[in-house]
Amino acid sequence: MKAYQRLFCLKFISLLLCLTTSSVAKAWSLPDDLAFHGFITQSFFHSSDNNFYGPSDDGISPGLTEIGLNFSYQLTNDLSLLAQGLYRRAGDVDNGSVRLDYGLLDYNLYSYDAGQVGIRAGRIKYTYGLYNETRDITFVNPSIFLPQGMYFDRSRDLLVSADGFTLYADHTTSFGDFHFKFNFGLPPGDSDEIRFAVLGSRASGLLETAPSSATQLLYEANGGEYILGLSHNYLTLEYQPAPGETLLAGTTDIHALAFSAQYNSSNFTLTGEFSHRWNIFQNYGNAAIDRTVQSQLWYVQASYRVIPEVEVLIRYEDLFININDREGNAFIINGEPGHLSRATDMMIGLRWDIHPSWMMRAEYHRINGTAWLPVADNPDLNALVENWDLYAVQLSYHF
Amino acid sequence: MIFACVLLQARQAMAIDVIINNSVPEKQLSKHKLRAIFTMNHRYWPDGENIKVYVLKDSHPTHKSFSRKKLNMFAHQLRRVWDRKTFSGTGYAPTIVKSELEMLEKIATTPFSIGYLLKVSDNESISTIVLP
Repeated sequence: MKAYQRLFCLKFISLLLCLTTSSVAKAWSLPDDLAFHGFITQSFFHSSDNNFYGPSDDGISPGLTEIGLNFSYQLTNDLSLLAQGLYRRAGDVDNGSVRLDYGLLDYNLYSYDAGQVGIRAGRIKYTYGLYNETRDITFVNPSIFLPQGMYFDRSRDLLVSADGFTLYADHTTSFGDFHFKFNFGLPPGDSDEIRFAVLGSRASGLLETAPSSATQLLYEANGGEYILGLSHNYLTLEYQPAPGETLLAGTTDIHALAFSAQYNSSNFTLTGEFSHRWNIFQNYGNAAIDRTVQSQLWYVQASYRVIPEVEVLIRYEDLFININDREGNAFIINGEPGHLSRATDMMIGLRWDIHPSWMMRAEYHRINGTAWLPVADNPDLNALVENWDLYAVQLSYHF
Repeated sequence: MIFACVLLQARQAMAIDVIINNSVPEKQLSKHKLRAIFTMNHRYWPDGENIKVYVLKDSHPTHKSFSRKKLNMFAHQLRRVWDRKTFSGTGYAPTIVKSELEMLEKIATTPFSIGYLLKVSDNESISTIVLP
């Protein structure tokens, strides 16, 4: 983050803080069109091997701290302003930074008896699957961290938000609601984690993002009892090799397709998502890289509310980086462990809503494979252990 | 035992009225449209005016009863829908009022507003809405 951007973000957060503090004092005079919300989340991790969100291996990493503050203001009948500042510190990947998570104008283009069409422009959240838009909002998510094959945290910048616009349409019928979104924008890129996730340990140049898109159609029946979703995400990355490097200035195009399904009853939720990704590498001048790699993942998760305040969750997730190389021979040839190509995560978790604003969670994961581990937390790839355990606890407050 | 019966009867008799400010052009709403309005998915009346939605807090018995009976949803499901919108810049949560009295005042004085009450007292500024 550049200095002026940091300054801008800090000013933004302090402005929000001032507004929030004064809003508490003058709550009685706040107009109904203006709303403030915020959250703070702290997660701790411990693992038998490998590091996740900091040195969790045989210790406790104060892994993940997230603080968000947002406001929404209805400027006119058709126009509103919404923004959220986010502070995030995550292991060795992100040493603590403040950024504008979203900041946008929402304009109603057309409304009719059964729905509306609108546009949001500015810094927008990207839609993908059921949880990408709310990936940092733990109390609306099913678990401490989302299924990592689908919602990678190490290359999260590519999907978290982008500068551009969202065109959306909502249509209500007697047999269900349809929600359509088309996002187009420039996501931030250029991080070492993204370069490793895309090009592996061979590359040391700059990998920059080009304008990308995300499209989603969601169908909700009976007020969300059944939800079906289809998402497509298209990303382009352009590579600038470091001086003396053998790789040329190639491009990587990523197409990701996801199917989502969810069933909700009063106490029981069943969720499943499947994603197929085509990663097309071109013009890198290296036969081992210039090809198309197809990745696949799926997960199934079930949660049950034992009592209104306590929920139990189980999930099984399976990820293959390259479905034509399940043993990870491409890594082995490179002198790296083959299990970097896959990850199977079996987890069980408990959620306790202590109070409407306070939530506590605990989780246990049994993981086979290392495909989604952040390299910044694990610089020595050959020290990675294939079968490992991960324990996590989380406390979150929101208003 | 008698006490329990009375309670049970009282619960069954807990009729909820959906109320609107008199400026609202629509006097009849289908169940799915009412749900779209309270999940904040449907944001405009047919004449293009912004819908102002008022609710009681999640734990209020009238709110629980309203969600269950009129929307066919649980209060915690409704809350998750609003939170998802509120924290992703994709929408808003309804405005929360502290009491049924405040609800009555808000709906009576806010143009294009909608809310609900346990039972409606006579007030010239509000109407109840017809649900099929």
